[in-house]
Amino acid sequence: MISTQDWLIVAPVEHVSDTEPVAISSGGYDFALFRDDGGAVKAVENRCPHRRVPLTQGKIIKGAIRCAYHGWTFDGSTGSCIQVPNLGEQERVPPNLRVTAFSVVEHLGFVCIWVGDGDNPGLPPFQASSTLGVKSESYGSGTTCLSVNDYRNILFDAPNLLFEIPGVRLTDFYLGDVDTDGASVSVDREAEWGEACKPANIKSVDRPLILRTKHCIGVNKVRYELMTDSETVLATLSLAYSESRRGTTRYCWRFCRYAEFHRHQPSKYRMRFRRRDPVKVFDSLDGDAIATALVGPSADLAVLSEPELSAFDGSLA
Amino acid sequence: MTNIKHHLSTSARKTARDWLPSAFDLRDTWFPVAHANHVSSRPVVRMIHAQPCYLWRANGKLLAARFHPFVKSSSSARHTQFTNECGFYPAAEGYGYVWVWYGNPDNVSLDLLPQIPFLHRDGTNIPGYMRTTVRFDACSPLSVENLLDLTHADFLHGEVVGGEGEAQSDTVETSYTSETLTRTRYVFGKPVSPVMRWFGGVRARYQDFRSTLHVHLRSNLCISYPRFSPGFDVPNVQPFVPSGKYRSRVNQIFNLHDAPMPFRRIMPRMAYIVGPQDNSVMRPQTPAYILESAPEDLHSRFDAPGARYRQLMNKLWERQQSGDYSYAGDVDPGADIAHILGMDRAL
Repeated sequence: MISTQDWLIVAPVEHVSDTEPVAISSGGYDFALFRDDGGAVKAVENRCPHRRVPLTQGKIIKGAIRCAYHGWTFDGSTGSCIQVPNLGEQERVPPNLRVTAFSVVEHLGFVCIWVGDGDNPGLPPFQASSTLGVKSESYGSGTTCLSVNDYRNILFDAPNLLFEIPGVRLTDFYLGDVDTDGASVSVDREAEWGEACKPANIKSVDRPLILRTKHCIGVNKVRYELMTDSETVLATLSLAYSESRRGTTRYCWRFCRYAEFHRHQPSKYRMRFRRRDPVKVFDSLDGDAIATALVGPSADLAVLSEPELSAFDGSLA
Repeated sequence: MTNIKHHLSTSARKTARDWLPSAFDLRDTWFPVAHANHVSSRPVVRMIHAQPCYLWRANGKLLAARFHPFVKSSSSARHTQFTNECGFYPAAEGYGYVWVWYGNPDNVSLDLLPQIPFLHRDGTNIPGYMRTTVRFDACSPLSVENLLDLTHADFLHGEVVGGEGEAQSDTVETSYTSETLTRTRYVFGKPVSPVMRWFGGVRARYQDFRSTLHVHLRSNLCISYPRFSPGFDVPNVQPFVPSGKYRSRVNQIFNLHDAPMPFRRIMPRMAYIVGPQDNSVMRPQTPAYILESAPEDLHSRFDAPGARYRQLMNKLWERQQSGDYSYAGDVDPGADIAHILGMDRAL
């Protein structure tokens, strides 16, 4: 059984390079991420086994990571130390010098690290969105001052506190309850065209948009799908999150806007928001708004602990 | 200190297990899910207890299905216990509404369609301005309870209904069957409401009114017949269709043909003022009624209709939980209720 902590989705693929290592704390681990000579992402524990200096203070030399303190160099695939400077010509690096290396895959634009027991089972359990008709794509990451469980609850109860799609107004009028298809749990809410900061049009009989919140079972990742009422997808926001240090939550996201978005967006909003970023994922959260956000669909998740969520059979209370 | 007080307050009082309004999922009933004039060849979706229901007309025929007719990969599974094998719900049209049967399709009967005596069965003579659609940020039973509640109006809707609390006398009668609850309120000598004074031409300072509210428990259908004297009748229907455990939707219809202009046009718009006022208190209510461990509610003597409503709902829910979805002998949803509402006669 895969628990929600076995796969950690830690960054958009674009954030990892072969020039500078990246430090990421996720799921109780500290990772040093970099790309080797072949461009493959590598993840090792961000702590030199020699004198405990973060490896990310060092450099990437010929696809391996070299500690800034004494120059010990580690292979990203195996974690083996491949060089200790100043060893004599006849000496070789003792095989016990190694750092913990993790299995990494790049999947659908995200760097995913396997921290479960044994070999990784292939790919993380989340599916691709359609790439047909994608007009623009953006991505990002950050850390927020909210515990991972509270963050998950807000993903369901008040996504408007976490991100904004300019020109789209989200409501908290839920269409039904939390539902599951076995691979994910989801809930729909009404949305409409307009400025996000203004209240929803209460006289509207049928709101033209739906925002579907779809949370994968087995991995901390949610996908928001902005759709028309006939379920034509206009935009998707994939957002992965994990526990970080000191009770914070690390998140990374990718946003795709489809050609259909502009086709359906009323021209007055298209003009008004044409210079804005297609999405704004908030770096800092409004504490008052988070504190007063009413419990909604997350109540159906609160009873599920981490292992139970992965074994969730879909029978929601 | 705080911990000790909290501990005492939760242990000394019973918990609210006896009233979990979001848990009710009563079946085998007709829900008026949409205004009939809002359903055309273009499908619209409505939710009933979290079940999607797409409505449209094909060659003039009304259709209701669990799936979107024009989308091949509709996210909804077709066949469920509420639909026939092809994924269609039983549907009917009447009193200006599209009604959808929520329950076992084998038990469907048009005789169970509730009668609304102040609307024409064929839905004629209902102008668009007498229809409203309001969303409530609460589950349906809490919304119905709000409507049954007598004492919140002074505080929440004072500028619309006037100072009911200042009346000379105010009495309430409640009657019920296993499927319905009727609350009749008689108020004498209350100040005329501002909306009736300024837009309805009622210049008297005080007026009497008798207001009857007839609730169909399974469907949360509230049929209201207020009669003002001096003044006029303001009959209206408020069906609280449950979107899910947290939200409900009301397609309200008034019959204001006896009221003068401009009151006739303005009164239905009041729903957009009164609705948000109610929402301001009901929004935080629903999450507070989800937890079984919450302390039990306290009541005053003014809460009798609401308390009876809770009791009847619990009873009906228990019966359905045991597998009994039948209608008891004391009830006939389709029967003429004009006399119950205090109407002179049905249309």
